[in-house]
Amino acid sequence: MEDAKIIALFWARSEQAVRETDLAYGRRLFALSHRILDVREDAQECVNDTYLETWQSIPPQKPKHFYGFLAAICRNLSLNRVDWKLAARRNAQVVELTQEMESCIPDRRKEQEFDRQEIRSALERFLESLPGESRLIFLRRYLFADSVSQIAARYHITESKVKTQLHRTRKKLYAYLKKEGICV
Amino acid sequence: MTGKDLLLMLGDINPKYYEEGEYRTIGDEKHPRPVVRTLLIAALIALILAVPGCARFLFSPLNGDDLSLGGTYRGQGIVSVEVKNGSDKELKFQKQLKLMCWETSEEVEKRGGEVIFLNTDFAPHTEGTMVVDISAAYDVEALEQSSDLYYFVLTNNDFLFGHDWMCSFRFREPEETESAPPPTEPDPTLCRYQSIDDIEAELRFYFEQAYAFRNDQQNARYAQKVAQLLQEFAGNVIAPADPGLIVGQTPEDVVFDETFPKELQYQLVGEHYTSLDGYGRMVGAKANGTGDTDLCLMLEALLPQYPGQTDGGVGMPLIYLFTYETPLTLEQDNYAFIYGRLLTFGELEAYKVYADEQYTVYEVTDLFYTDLDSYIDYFLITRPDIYFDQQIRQRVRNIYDYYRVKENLTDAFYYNLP
Repeated sequence: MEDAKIIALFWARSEQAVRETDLAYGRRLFALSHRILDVREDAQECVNDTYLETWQSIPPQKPKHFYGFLAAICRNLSLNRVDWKLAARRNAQVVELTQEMESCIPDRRKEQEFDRQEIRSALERFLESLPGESRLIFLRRYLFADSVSQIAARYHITESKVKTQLHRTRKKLYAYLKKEGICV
Repeated sequence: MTGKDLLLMLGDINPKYYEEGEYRTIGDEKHPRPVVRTLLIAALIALILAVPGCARFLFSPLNGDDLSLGGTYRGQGIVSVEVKNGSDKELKFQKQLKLMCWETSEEVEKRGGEVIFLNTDFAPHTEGTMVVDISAAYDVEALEQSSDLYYFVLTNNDFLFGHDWMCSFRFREPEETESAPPPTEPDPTLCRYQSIDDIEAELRFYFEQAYAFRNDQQNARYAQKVAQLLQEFAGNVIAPADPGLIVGQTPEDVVFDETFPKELQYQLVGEHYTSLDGYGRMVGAKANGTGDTDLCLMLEALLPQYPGQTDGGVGMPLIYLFTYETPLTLEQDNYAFIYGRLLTFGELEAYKVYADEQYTVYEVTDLFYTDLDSYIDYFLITRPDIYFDQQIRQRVRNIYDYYRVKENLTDAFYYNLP
């Protein structure tokens, strides 16, 4: 079913909306959540919670990018479900991701209030400044939590190329955030 | 701010980036390699052909007297070409043509899209029908206004060395012949992928001309005929159920397309409940716009729109599954109505792939089509936006083969309830 029709079902408060959403995107959302949580049951619960939150958000919202809308909810729910204290022992993938992100922050010594909206805008501007290939690899890694080998397989490129691209992009992000005065 | 904070905040970005990351692939913006490859191939061919002495060794000649071509315009840009290959050689038409006007001997200008060909190969001493769809490549509406004679120049060798063949037809008959009655017999070559013999006689009209999409008016007319048939029918016709019983993910070791990573295989198969088949035809007695809706679960192969794409959001329907309440399937006077056919549940027993106390599922793909390759070819005529090659064809076949095994389906069903 087309996205517009599914959204119309949400607006009509038809429970079929949830079923159609699951048929259309359930597998992708599950895969996304599973990469972050690494536990099938938890991932399935996150997908179900994604539908619940979507149900509560539409209406009034009418997302233009429906899959992106769902994936954003699912990713955030999955990350919020990670037990960060135990993550070091249980989920190496999440630990790697946070460590890599850590290297993009210019100065972590200063505790500073940050404007979430401002950072979001900065991140979007940064993504727009990246060449297509770098952007896709960055998105797959940090938005979808793909491993380096998964990215290499997805785009038919070598793992070393993925690593090199990610390293360069992280350095660019570091420089960009510094230039924008964020977290300095 | 910590790495965790940044990771979380990255999730707040515009959802369009999620879609970009999911659907786009490297090289979407430009495809330099195919162009370079094409140029290289073209240069190589030109080099070979520049040596005239090579030509007769490269191509075996075909005598024009051994061939017969007859064209008939079918509407909506479709031309069927009756081909008789009386020669001892295999005839393989290339997927290119010139459309010429007989009166002026001028080639009709193309508007950019591609011509689609179906059934281009003819073994020695055989005959058959090649179907050509020119709707995307030419201004068909304008051509249909003319009663002039037109002809295709077809070729089996890039229009070189006399390997081009003419086939004439009219888009519109001249005035004096317009009153002639339209042909009533359906062209059997246009529905080769399915048998319509066992469809209720008064409903067969709806299933002829397999590739043509049905519109709302045609569906309404069909629904009316079906309602009439069912009203006059003595047995109880049971509507299919929609209990949210669906097919789960395939096991991780199942690979449909070896060129894709194992963990992405799940993206190659889609499923949804539907009242219409891949050609917009009603699968049951009722569809959207005709009152209550008869739904079936359809599994589809997701197809790309350019090389390397996992899926382009274009689904090719492959497997059709109808679900009924189990107690109703056990009563002798009860019937199912599927795709123009009235069937007892005894007849459906052979199609059963899943049953529990509440629901029974029948995999009835055979009622929709029986020849996968022809089915694919016809589907491609309707969807010129799909990128298709032998690898994708194999992928479709693998998905089809996997789900046609009863055990694979039986083990995969689960209730998907909110």
